[in-house]
Amino acid sequence: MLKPISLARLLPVLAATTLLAGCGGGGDDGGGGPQPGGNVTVSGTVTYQRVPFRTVGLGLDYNATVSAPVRGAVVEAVDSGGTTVRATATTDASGNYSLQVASGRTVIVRVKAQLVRASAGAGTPSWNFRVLNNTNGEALYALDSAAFTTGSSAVTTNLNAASGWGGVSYTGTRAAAPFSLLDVAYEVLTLVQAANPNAEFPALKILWSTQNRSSNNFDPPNGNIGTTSFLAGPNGGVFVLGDANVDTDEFDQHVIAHELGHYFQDAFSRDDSLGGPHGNSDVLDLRVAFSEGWGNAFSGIVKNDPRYRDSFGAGQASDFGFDVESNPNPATSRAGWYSEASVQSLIFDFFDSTADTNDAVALGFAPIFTVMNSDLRTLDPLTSIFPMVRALKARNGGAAAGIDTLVGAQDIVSATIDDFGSTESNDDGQPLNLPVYRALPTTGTVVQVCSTSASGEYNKLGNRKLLRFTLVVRQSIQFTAVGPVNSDPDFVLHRRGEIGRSESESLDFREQFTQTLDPGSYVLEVYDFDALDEAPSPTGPVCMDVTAIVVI
Amino acid sequence: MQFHRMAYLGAILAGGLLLAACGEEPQQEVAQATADTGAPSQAQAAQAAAAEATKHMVSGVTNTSKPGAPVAMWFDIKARPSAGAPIAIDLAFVPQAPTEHLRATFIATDGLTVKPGTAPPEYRNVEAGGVYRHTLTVEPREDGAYYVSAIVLMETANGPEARTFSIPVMVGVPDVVTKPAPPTDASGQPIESMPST
Repeated sequence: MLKPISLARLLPVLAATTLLAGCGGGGDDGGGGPQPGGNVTVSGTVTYQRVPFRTVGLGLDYNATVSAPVRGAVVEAVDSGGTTVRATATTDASGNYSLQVASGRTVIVRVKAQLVRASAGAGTPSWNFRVLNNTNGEALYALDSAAFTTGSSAVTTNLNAASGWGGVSYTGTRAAAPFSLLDVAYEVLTLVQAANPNAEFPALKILWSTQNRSSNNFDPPNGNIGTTSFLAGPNGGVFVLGDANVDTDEFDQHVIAHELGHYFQDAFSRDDSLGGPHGNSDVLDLRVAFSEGWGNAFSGIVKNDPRYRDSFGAGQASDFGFDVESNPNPATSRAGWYSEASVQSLIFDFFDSTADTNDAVALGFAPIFTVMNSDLRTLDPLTSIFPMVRALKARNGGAAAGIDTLVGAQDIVSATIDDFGSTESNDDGQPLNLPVYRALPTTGTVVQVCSTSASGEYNKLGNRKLLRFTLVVRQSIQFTAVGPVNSDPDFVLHRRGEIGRSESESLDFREQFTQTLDPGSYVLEVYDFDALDEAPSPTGPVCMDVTAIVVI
Repeated sequence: MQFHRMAYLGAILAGGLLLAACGEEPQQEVAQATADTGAPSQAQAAQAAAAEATKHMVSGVTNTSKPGAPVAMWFDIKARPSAGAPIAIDLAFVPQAPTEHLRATFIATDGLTVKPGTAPPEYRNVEAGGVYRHTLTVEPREDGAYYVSAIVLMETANGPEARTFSIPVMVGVPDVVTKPAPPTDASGQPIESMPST
């Protein structure tokens, strides 16, 4: 059964032709001396060599390289010395540009790996996506033509960024890589603009280098980036592997879109994720499951292709991946609110118009954007699938029954769902995993929680226990957790994002802190640090008595 | 009492350092499972036993953001590396989920040779929390900073998954090379010029 085509699905396509239409920018003002011939048009098309995938599992196919347009990028006519910009423009959706340059001028055409627009007030939001080399002083990648001197008639100068592939290995400059990365940013920009034309994009650095390798330390100037990842903050960005024959990601556009999904959360929503290792097989903390499932689904939405693929190995000739359209079967896998595979299948099914098992929902991206932007950012619970489903149903009543069917098929209670998952019954076979949040009275009443590492450590289900409480007036609250001998209880306090943390090294297996809090709803996260670090883990659940009490 | 905010980076790096688990023998280090929530679980017991065995090793876990195979890798370079001499690197693969098949391949940067002689590690019927050991031998041509990368593949319930790790190998005292600053454009932005073709 086919589902109706959603208008929202079409909007990104329309937006691509309207919002990011290329244009001729400022022309040569004649600076630098008289130019008797007036201006001439320098125009052309900018492309990059995009390397597609082979059959699943066989990695990149350099023999099938295609010429793809460089879309939305900054183009400049620069004096051959490389410092004075004579004219600027932006490539259109087909990679075309047009510049006005004084005749008799010797220039190069420079295409920057940058999408930029300055804000011109309401209705014209800004963005600035740049692809930089983190091992070369964060230099902006730029594709340069050979120098030429303009005459009295129009000049066509086409530019192409080559992959650098020499047949069996990279032998030339990998100029296509920055533009392949930039093109995913262009697609994200287009998608979000279609959902909200006024969306203001925080500046983003995409940091790629041929020296970027997997590492167990983080030293970007020397290429040690951990892995392809998004780091929030002023020194952050999307760091991308470029380690040939081991792991390159510049042509793994779903991988890049996944990381841009985290950028999206940071820019337009909220992400309470802990980060850390994760995969489709893991049973995760609810925040991590949601964040990574979101990233995977977002990659399928951006690329309009549910098949996530990640190339690696000698000659980039291997890959692994998964289909976010594929719905985990609770009978054969650990589907649920703690599974990124469940989350990604749900979000993609909320979006897409392709019917599959249990899927009659086809909302497109705009309703999802609204929930992420308007609801998840400001709601009290930690970010997870629970508030997303609750809010999506509330805003899209006509689709609520279909959403219930989808969500229920992932072994998540949907009909009665609330932001805190308080009616959830799926504990993954471990009773300690429910309730998702326990109520924490502020009267000193003891609430026992048990941290477990049964599903792994650091960011897995059961590692960290959640309690919630509400204050109606401003009060100072003293929090205490007491665990067994050799335990090390720690706290994190959340109110729409982390607001406090207490993780002293307990000498008496007791953690305590006091904080004055404004009225509102709070989440207290409690865990045993020893169950999370590299030291030998406790052999059983670590149960801690937690209290909260108002202090004068 | 102390308050501080953990940087996201810290979380990521911590994630890369937390998956300790290892043991004395390659297989059969998984404790018996129990259904009692108050008793050790299979994973917990395995982690506790394995962590003890890897306490002198260094985590090679890296992939913390993009999805990857549920496996950690630890390594230990037994002797001080020197140019022209083989270097033994002890590895411990610690899967976090059971799998029918786990294998690894290695590739080294120029100047460092992965010595033949042992088949690439490959394991069948792998158990979560189990420890799978391998010794890799590499040989540096001269002093310098090198890396050996390991690509680990697992067959999981969701299909094949991979994770890559790197092992730094420092031989002698590598030359410190000061990179020239890249040129800048009119706005002061450093530029890396690439030729159009």
